[in-house]
Amino acid sequence: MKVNRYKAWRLAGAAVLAAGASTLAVPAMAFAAESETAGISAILPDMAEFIPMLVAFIVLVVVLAKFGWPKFDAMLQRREDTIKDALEKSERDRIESERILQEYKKQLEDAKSQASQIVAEAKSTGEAVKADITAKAQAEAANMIEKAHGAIEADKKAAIAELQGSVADLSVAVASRIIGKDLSDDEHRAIIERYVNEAGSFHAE
Amino acid sequence: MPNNRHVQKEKVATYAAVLLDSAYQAGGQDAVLQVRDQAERIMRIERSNMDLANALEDSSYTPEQRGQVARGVFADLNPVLTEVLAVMAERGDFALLSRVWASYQEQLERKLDVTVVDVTTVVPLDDHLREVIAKKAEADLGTKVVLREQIDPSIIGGVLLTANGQRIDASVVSQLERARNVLKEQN
Amino acid sequence: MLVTEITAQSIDEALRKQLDALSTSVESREVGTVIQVGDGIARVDGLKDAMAGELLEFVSSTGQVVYGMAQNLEEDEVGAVLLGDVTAIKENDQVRTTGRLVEVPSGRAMLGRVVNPLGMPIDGKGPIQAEGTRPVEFKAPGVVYRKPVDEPMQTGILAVDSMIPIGRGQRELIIGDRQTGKTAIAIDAIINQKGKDMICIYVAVGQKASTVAGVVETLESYGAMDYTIVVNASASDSAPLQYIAPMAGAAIGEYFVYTGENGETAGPDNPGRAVLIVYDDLTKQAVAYRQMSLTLRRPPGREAYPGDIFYLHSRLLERAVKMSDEMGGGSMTALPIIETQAGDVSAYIPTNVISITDGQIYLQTDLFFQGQRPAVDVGISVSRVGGSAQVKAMKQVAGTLRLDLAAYRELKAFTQFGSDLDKATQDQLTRGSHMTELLKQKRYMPMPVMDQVVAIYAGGKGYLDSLPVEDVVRFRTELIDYLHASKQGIFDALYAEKKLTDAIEADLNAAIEAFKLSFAVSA
Repeated sequence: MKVNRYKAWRLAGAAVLAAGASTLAVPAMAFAAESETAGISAILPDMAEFIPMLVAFIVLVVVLAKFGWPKFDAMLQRREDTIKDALEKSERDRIESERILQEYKKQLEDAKSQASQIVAEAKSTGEAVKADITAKAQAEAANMIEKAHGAIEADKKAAIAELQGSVADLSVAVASRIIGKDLSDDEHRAIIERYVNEAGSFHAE
Repeated sequence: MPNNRHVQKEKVATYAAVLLDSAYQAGGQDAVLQVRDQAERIMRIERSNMDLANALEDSSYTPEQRGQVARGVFADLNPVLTEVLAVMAERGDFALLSRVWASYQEQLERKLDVTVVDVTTVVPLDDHLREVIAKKAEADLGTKVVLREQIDPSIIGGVLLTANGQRIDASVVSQLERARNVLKEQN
Repeated sequence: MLVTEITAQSIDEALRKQLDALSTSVESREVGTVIQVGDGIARVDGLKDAMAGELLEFVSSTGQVVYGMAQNLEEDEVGAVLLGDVTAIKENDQVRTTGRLVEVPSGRAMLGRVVNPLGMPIDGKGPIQAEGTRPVEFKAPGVVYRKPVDEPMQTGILAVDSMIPIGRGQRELIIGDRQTGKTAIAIDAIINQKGKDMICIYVAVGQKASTVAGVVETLESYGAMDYTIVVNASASDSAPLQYIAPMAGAAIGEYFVYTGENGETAGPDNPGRAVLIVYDDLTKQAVAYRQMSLTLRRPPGREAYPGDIFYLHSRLLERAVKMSDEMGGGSMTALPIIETQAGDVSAYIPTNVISITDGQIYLQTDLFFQGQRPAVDVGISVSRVGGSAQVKAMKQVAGTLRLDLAAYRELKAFTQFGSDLDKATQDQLTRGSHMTELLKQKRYMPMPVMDQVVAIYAGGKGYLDSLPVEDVVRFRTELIDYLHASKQGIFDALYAEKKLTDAIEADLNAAIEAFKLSFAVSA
């Protein structure tokens, strides 16, 4: 299709050129005819001139059509293409830039909301941590107090036990001295008799 | 040296029987009881005196040397006991002494129907007390009783009765000790 | 709060009350005489009626009483071990039978205390008022009184709780060379029992007193002494004391298992309590028993251990128990520790104890020095019964963990030759190295079970794969902090459901993704 159209253009261009060339050639022949003849012959071409001119013209047309026109046509074509491309590209760029703009706007919004979310989370995290630390510290303090109480209590008990122990030691020492020193032989014998009578059997079972 | 348990046991019983029988022939029950006490003392000495024990059991001495040592060391004892100990030393059986002693005790009870009760007190016993103690022990043990009396002031008061490895500790010192422990206990 | 007042009157009253209880009656008792004494062993003449394991009273010439335990009952003498001041007893001293087996006191009053194997306090905090006593030698309950392990005993250690789960009533051996962190695992397990209504007993056998003091201090600083009893027979104590220490610890623990809070025997309406007991370590006990047996002239066997060394350990570990509901449902979980020499688990004592226990945690020296701490070799560590007690959620995540690690180990061996790897292999290696890293944990930092579930879940879902390996632990810690601080709901749901439902998984995924966005990877 395109090739056909290109050929048609070429043919039409050749025709125009040929016409232009003939109109350029005609006045010259007309002047020549005027000087020699008059009347109708003035407008009729002089065959002797006309034929070579026609030949030259045709040769020119052929040469131009063959070598000049394609270049000219290609140039036109290129130019047209360039313009078209530029237009299309600018259109694409515009759309792209609009899209990017949209994206940036969206990201900005996202970032904003994320930032506020992070802040909120950090706040709640901070509060939770704070509560946690406070609770822990309080528990620890209570624990320490309780332990201290326990330690004091244990110390007291230990002191009592020690005191009780030394009282026991002392009383036993006193008792043994009294029994050992102050009992007469008969009293000793009385004790022995009582113990023998109270004592269990040799066969414990 | 035979290690069989039964052979060993037989040997111990023979030593004890010889000791008991010859002591009884030599001096009746009194000698038998004397031998018992002396053997017990030797046993205690032997346990705590390593030199003596080693000398009497050392196989690098000849049997005669060991016998001589035993006769020399135990010269003051009842001659029957001295002789038996010397034989034991000669034959390298001195280590069996404690088992011989136990067997002797057991045979004494069986053959003479007598149990020895050790009585430890702070003051000497009088006849009344002896009777009270002997009666109680006879009732408990079902044999005749011989009392071996010892005075030991360290028990402070009361009495300590021992027979056949059983002991009734009615001494004041252990009573006080018990009281001290109970008092020290936390309720 | 009860406050004791020190007044003359109160002491007077106490003394009078005791005096009333004093009975003066005298029974005959069997007496014997010491034939020979040495190395903590006494040969006693007489005592024909003594029982094996009976408590004997040795009376020194100065009147001091030293306790002993009858061991060898022979035809005409008794071999006994001395539990106390060995030097006080001489030949010809008297020995009395008591008619009682060796017992230790026990009860809540012992919590927080350090005692010797006879139950006497050695921490200078005064006397202990015991609720009751238990025999040191006790025959373990039979089949009908028991039930299978069904409750988890969380150690707080990722590697253990995920892949080597321990149940209450189980016996799990901790085995490894010296300096591989055996005690650390046991201590972590004790620290992790805080608030779990568990009574812990740490039995130190043959250790330096300073080491034990360090352990006690650590436990105290983490608040773990409130529910812990330390039984210590240090290296300077006599062999018999080191020998009975684990049994004494078990007896102290058994008191809690077999009696309820009210001091009555445990039953369906009176639940027994849960006890965790650590024997640190049984190698030393075996050595002490060997010494004791040789000096008692028992015939030596392999490695000079006496013939009943296996029975010693089996009857001790058999006392670990999960009681049936009719018996109060108490439990005693035992963590025996065995030290190996140069990783040799085929020595006598290690093989014995391995065969007795319900699984073992192997600790490896090279892992330890590679920085993989706890140095648990998860490839060869097993728990034979704990799986049935594991939390459902943990079971869900641990399955993939085990697979990942197994594949990793297998591949790692191959890829050490360094050839080109395809993508799948590389992914698996990455996953494995990250999971291995995930299992690292510092000492005294036990993790609650659901924290562990979340951490392993994050690893198993591949959230860690894109991180540098050295950031994994920090990621784990920060993730859990973050979740606790701002997404506590997930944990609440996990603790309520006990397993990972689809809803929880979705929440968790979202939360982990959100956290990962804000996680700053270190350069």
